[in-house]
Amino acid sequence: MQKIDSQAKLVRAAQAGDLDSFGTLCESYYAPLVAVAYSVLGDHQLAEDAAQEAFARGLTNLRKLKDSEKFAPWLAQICRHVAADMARVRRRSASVEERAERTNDRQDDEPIRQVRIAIDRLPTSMKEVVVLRYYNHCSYEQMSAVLGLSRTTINGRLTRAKRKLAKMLRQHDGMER
Amino acid sequence: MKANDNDRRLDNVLHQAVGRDDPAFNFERWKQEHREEIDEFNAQISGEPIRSCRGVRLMELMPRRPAVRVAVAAVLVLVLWVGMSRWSNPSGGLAFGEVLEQTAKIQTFHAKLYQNGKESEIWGKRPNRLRWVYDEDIIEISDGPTLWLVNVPFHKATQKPSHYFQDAQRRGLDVMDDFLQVRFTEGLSGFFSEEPVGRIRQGGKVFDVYRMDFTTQEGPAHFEALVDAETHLLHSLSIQVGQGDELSVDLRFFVTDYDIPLSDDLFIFEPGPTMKVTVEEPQPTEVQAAEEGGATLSGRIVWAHNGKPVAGARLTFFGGRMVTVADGKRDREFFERTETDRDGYWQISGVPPGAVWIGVRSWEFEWPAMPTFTTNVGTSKDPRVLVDGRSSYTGLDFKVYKPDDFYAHLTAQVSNEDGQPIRDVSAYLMYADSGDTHQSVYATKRRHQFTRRDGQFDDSEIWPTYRPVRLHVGHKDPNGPYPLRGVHSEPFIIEPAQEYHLDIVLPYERELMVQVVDAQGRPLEGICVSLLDGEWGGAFSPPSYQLEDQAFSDSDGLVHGSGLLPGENILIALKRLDPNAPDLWNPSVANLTPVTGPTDRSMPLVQVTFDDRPITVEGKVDPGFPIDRARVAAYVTGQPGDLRHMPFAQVDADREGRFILRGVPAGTIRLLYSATGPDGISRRGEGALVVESGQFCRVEFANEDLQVLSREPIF
Repeated sequence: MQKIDSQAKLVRAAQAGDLDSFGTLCESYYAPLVAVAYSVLGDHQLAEDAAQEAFARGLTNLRKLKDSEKFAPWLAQICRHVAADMARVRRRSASVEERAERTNDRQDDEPIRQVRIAIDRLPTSMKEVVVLRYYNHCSYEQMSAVLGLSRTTINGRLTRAKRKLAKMLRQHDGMER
Repeated sequence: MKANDNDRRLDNVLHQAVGRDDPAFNFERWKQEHREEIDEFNAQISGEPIRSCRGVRLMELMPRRPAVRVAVAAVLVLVLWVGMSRWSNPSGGLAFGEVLEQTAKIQTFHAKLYQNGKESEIWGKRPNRLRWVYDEDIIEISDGPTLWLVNVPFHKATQKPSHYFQDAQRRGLDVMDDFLQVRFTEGLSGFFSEEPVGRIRQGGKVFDVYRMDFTTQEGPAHFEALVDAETHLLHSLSIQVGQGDELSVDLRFFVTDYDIPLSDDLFIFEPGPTMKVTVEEPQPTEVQAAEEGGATLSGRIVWAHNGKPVAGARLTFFGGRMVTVADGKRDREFFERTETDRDGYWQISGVPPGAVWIGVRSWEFEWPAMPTFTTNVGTSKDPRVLVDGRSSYTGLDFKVYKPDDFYAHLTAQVSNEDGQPIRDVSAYLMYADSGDTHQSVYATKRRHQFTRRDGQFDDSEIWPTYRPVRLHVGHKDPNGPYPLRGVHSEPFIIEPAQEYHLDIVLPYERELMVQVVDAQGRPLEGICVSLLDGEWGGAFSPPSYQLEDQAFSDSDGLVHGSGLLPGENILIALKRLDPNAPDLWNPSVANLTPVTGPTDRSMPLVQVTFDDRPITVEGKVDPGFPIDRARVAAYVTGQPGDLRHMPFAQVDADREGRFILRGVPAGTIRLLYSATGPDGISRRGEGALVVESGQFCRVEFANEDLQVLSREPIF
C-alpha cells in the first residue's frame, strides 16, 4: 500500500512536469512492461523497443491520466497497443512454429521450442500472466500493479494457464510417441 | 508429491522457455532518443503551443475521447449539411465550393447529439461564439476573445484562448469556421456524396437518404443522413464506427433548428466560486496588411484520376516578412485563404514580395495534392513560389490524387561493410540539388524512425518528387565502438505509386595520418589541417566537400584525421593562420591537396608539402549602386552557381568596393561577391579565377562579371 502511495506521488509529480519522477517510474516498470510486450511480440529486442515507445506515448499523454494509482495498468495498455502495432507491421501472422523459431537467436532444443509454441497458443490474458511470471521472475506485486488485477485473480489465471500448458505438452508428447 | 514434481518440472521448463535476465533501462539515453516527446510534454506543462509539429498541435486540440472526436466531426457534417440543404438548388446537388460558401452564411445553429444514451447540446453563433456541453464533465465555450475549456469536476479552466482560437483570431477568421471546418476534420475522409442514394418515408415526410462510408483509425465508419426532400433541410444524422456488435462509436444527431435567435448570454462563462480564473487579453499584433497592389497568383486544381475540376478546394498562403504576432511570437505577415470555383480555378492578389507557401486541401481530406509546377524553392510536399510583389503568376496548378494512386513505397536494407544489418539508423529524403528535406522515412507504419533489428526501412507513404532526391542514412551513435559514417544514396526521382528499394552500406569511418612538410621535406608545426570529403558529389551536383576533421600539426608536422569515407574525394586543406588578423580563421597562406582516402581500415600516412608562398587577390566591386555593405569570398572548388561549397577566405569590401583577399589557395577558385545598397537592394556576382602560389592578382567586378586585370609574382 505504501508503495502504491509513493508511486502515485511520483505520477502526480510527473504530471506536474517532473521528468525525473517519470524516469523513476519508467525504471521500476520497465521489466514488467518488456514482459507485457514480449507476450505479444515474442522477441526480446522488439519488446524492449515497444516498452520504450510506450514510455514515449505515456509521457505525451500523461496529463490525460486522471487516476494516478492506475498508472501502471494504463501504461501496460499503451504498451500492448504499441506491441500489437509492431506485431502487425512485422506481419507475424505466419505460423506459430515459425514465430517460436524466431524468438531466440540460439538454437534451442526441441522440448523448449515446443513449450514456446504452447505458450504462444495460450489465450492472450493467460499468455501475459505466464510471460510476466517467468520472464525475469516478476513478483505477484509487480504483476498485480501492471495488470491492474488482484493477486488472487493472477494466481487463478496462472494456475489455469499452467494446467492448459501441461495438457498441451502432454498431447504433443503423445503425438510424438 | 508427484503433482508437485510435475509442477516444478513445468516451472523449470517455463523459465527456460521465456526466462531472461533483467532488461536494463537507461533513462538518460531514453531522453536523448525521445527529445520530441519530451518537448511536447514540456510544452503541455508550460501551456505553450508546439510550434514545431503542426500535427501534434492539431491532435492536442482535438477532444480526448475518440467518440467525441467523431462527434466533433459530426458537428461539421451537420453544419455543412445544413448549408447544403438550405441553399441548394432542389433540382441538383451542390458543388463543394458552393457548400463551403453556404456554410459561411449560417449565423446560428442548435443541435442535439445522442451518444450511447447520453445527450449533448451544441450552440454556435457568429462571430466567435461556441458552446458545447459534450458530456457531463466538459463544457467548451467561446466568448468573444476567450475560449474556455472547462472540466467541471476538476474545477479547472484554461487561462488563455486555446491555440486554434488564437490562430483564428490572428487571421481574422471566425472561430466557428476555424473550429468546424479546419481543425476537426482531421482524420476523416470521403464523407461527402454528391447525390442521395434513395428516399424513405418517415412520420409522414419524405427524406432523401445520404450514405457515406470511410475509414478511421477506429475502424470503418458509416454515416447516414436524412434530408427533408421538400425543404432540403437536414433531419438527422447517424454515425457508426467499428464492426458488427463492437461499435466504438454509435451516435445520432438531430437538428433542432438553425438561424434561431441565440442570446449572447448563452456564451458567457461564469466561473464557479471555487475556480480561480484569470483571463489574459490577447496581445496586440504587428501584423500589417499586404501592401497595396501586390502580386497575383492563380491556378487550377483537378482530380488526378479523371482530370475533372476540384470545386471548393481550400488553399492557404503564407509569406511575407517575419513579424511579431500574438504573445510575442514570430510568424509570417501574410496569410490568405481562398477556394476554387466550380471549374477548379483559384486566384488571390495582394501578395507581398518573397517566398509564398501554398497549401491545398480538397474535400477528400486525406487525398494529397501535388503541384504540377516546379520552382527553385520548396518541395512537392511543401511548395513555395518566389514572387516580386507586383507581377501575375499563373499556372500554379495542382492535382489531387487518391492515396493508392499517389504514395510511393520505399524499402531499404541497411548494413555495414561486413554485410551485417544495422539497426537504429535514421533516414530522410533530401533534394539532391538544394539539400532541402523532402520527408523523413520510417522503419514501420507506426512511424518508428529507426531501422528495425533486421536493418530495414519500410515506408509506404512516400511523397513523389519532381526533382531528384537522395536518401540520407545516418547512424544514431557515431561515437559507438565501431563508428559508422552516414551516407547518401544516389539521386533518384520518386514517381507516384511506384516501389523503390535501396541497399545501403554504411562504411566504417576511415582514418588518415597527415604529415605537413616544407619544400625541403622538413616537418611544419602549427599548420591548420582540414580534412574534407566529397560525399555529396554525384550525377546531379558537383562534389561538395564536408569538413570532417580539423587540427593543428604538431612538432613532427603530424595530424590525425578521422571520420572519413573510404576511397576517393578526400581534400586536405592547409592554412597558416595569422594570429594578428582581425579574423583569426582567415588564412595568410593556404594550400589544397586532393588525395585518395584509405579503402581499408588501416591508417595510412600521407605527406603533403605546404607551399609557403602567399597568394593575394586585390580588387574592386562595382554593383552599379552605392554600397552599404559588401563581402567577397573565395570558394575552393566547384562551379559557378553552386553555393554549397565552402568559402575558403572572405573579406568585407569598403564603401568604395575595394577589397584585399589573402590566403587564397592555388588552382581554380571561384570569387563571389554580395553587395547591398542603403535602400536594401542587393546584387551578387561571381567568376572563376586561376591563381598560382606567390602571385598577386588584380581583379574587378563590373556589375556581375569578373575581369582579371593583371597577375604579378610577389617578391
